[in-house]
Parts: sequence; C-alpha cells; structure tokens
Amino acid sequence: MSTRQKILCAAVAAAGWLAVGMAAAAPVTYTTFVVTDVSLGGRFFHNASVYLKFVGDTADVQAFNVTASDGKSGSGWQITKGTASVEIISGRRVIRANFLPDQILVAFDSENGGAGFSSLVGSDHHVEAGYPLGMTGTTIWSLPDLVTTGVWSGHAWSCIGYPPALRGTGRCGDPAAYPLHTDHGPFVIHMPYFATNAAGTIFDDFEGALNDALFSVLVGP
Amino acid sequence: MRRAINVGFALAVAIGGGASAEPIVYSIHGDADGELDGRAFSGAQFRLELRSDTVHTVTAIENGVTVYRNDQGHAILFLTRGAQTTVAHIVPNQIFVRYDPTNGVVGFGTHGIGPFYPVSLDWCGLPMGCGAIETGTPEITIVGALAQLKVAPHDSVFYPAAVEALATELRGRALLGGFLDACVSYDVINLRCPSIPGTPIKTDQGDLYFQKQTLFGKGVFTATVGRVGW
Repeated sequence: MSTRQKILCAAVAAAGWLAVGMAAAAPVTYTTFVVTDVSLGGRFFHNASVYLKFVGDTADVQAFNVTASDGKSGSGWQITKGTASVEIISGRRVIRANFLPDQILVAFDSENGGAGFSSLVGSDHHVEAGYPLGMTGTTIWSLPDLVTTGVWSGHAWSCIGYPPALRGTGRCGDPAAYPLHTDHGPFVIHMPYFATNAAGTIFDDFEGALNDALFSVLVGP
Repeated sequence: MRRAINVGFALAVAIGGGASAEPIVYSIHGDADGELDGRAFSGAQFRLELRSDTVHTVTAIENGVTVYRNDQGHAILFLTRGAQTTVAHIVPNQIFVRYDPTNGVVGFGTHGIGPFYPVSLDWCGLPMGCGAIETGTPEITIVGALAQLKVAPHDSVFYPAAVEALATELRGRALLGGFLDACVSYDVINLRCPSIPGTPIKTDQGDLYFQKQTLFGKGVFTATVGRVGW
C-alpha cells in the first residue's frame, strides 16, 4: 500500500471541493449495501441489512481536485445534488427514511482509491469522507467514474475521522456525535468489525475495515 | 455393550445438531459473471438464498475438520442486470449451504459438482487454496479473522470482541464476509474462469452457470432467523 494511496479522502475533508462540471444528463442511482449496526430515531438494529440510496442526474457529477495544507491531495468525481434515503431490514422489519437535504454526497477519489457515501456533518458542515459508508480495496479500485452502470465491492468504512491510521488517531470517532438527520429521526451507522495492530489501533486505512459492502451505479430510469 | 450404544447415540445427536426448529434464510450477496437460460451476464449483482430450517443444520467432519451445513430447503437466485431483477427458483435438492470455520470458507455448494460452487467466500480468493491461516498479524476478512482465532486465540488482540462474536454454526443469525469465488475451477495462472460445469444448476428460469472472471471481488454472507419474506 503506497503512501499516496493512504491519503484518501482526508485531503478532501481538509481542503474542500474544487469542482468542474461534467457533461451528459441522465438519471443515476447509487446504492450501497452493508450489514452492520445502525440506529434510526433512537431504535438500535444489530447487523441489519442497510441500503443507502442516492438519486441524482449524471449532469451533476463533477470532477474535484483538492490539496490539503499538508500537501496531500485527492481527486476524482463527486455528486452533491440529489436525494438520499436509507432502507433498514432487520428481521421482519423494513424501515425506510429520507435524509434531509445537504448532508449526503457520493464521491469517488480515483487518486487514492476510495468511493461511496460521504457526508457533511457537524455545526461546521465539514466533510466526513468515510461516513456513512466509504469503501476501499478489492474491486472498488476499478470503478471508472460515477456515470457507468455496474457493481463494485470493497471494505466497508463507517468511520468518523477517516482515515484513522493516516491521521494518527488509529480510531474512528463516535458516530452518535454526528447523527444524520432523516424524516424518521437521527440516523447513526456503526463500524463494529475492524482489525487493529497489537496496540489496538486500526492498522490500515484500506484493509482495516473487516466488513464488506457492495456499491452499484445505475444510469437510466 | 449397552454403554457403548449409549455413547454412540450421544455422539450421533451431537453431530446431528439437535437444534430447535426455526426458519432460517442463508444468503450471499455479491456480483458475478455467468449464464442464465442461455443469456450471459457480466458483473451482475445477485443474492442467492437458501430458505430452510435450523433443525436441518448439521455438524459434520469433512477432510478432518468440523463443518456446518444445511442441505434442505428452497433456493432462490435474485439476479439484477441493470434495472431488471430476475427471480429464479432453483429446482430442489441441488444447493446446500456449508461453513468450514477452520479453513475460513462459507458458501453454497452443489450436489454432484462440489462444495464451493456456485459461490463461496474465503479469505484469499481461492477456497481451499489459501494454505494455512496466518497468525500474529491481522486478517482482512471476517472469515479469515474467525479462522485465525480458532488456531490462535491470543490473536484476539487484533480484533474487537464484536468480531469474535460473529462465530457461527449456521443455527442462528450470522454475518460473514470474504473474497467471492463463483467459478467451478479458477485458472490462477491466467486469472480467469475458463469453463463451466458439465451440469447446470436447474432453475425455473432455465439453466444457470456461474463463471466469475475475477478473484478480487468481495461478498457478504448472512443468516437470518424467522419468517422473513416467505
């Protein structure tokens, strides 16, 4: 794993977006699937099937290229304009909720090799690149862009403060401190399955998440 | 003599499982290449399910290690190509679910073809091709971590307790993840899946073959207890 790869989206969070528009206009739906612990409206669900969905238009996919104050960079594609929702399946229960606007974005950092659902959280509206569900490694590396239909897989990160190893914390922050707002109350997604070094800190920003997720892009109605 | 019979009976009960009856749905989520009813698919998202009952989950010794398997039930494939999802009901008595925690392999096998086809998850990309699990360093998959903890319990230092709690015997809720293999015989030299089995998996939507061309994809295995979506 190169140092360059390990930069990932923290640079994005630190430096903000520098976006360039992308052509074409077609409906696009991004979906991620993961099985993990979540809570919605104060109800906790252990190892629920969680589908995050973002519906937008390919015309709103934009290139970004950012450099943080420490010189680390990230670049790729992102879409912020659209509607986001979550479906939670736990036993017989199926709960759907819509995220309130201006919280969820879908991003693909092709420079560092990560993609998924990022968020704007906190009173300062800062970007959390690996929350609610960022993905690294395996086939997500080969994601071409955000406008090509397909399915990819990778390690599932739901990590406040991603990337923890690069930042030196070795740990993800408490997601309950950064609830995402939905029409069914606050939504929180946890990352209970990870690997550490002997000191107990997450050992790698790519392979340190043990759980896996699927990410799909569907262009068209 | 009578004592020997009693011991033998007790062993048989233990091997058989003796779990209380409860509906259970085993699923693998992933993407694969292959063919259904003569139509090829590539990179298609799928969910393969076996809807069974915990009473049918058995413990067995295979190749010297303990495995958990369930051979009964109704298997269904949900195959998504673009915006279309095909639901294919698999003809009974073909598919079974199997978990080998020692070798870190879980998935669906086919009677007459093998225990890893049509789809399995493992910790290196090739079921039974991974060699001995490494110890003294963290694994990068759930099936790998659980296999490691079986042989090296002290390696629990690399994982939170929640990971160890994922250990399963396929008799209750489960979550496992790993590299997804969906090829009857992968060519590791040329990195491709060159062939399909001589016998298809029969479904009500036609003959099914999996022929996944990459070893690098991941998949998610779950078991859900209760009547979900029946």
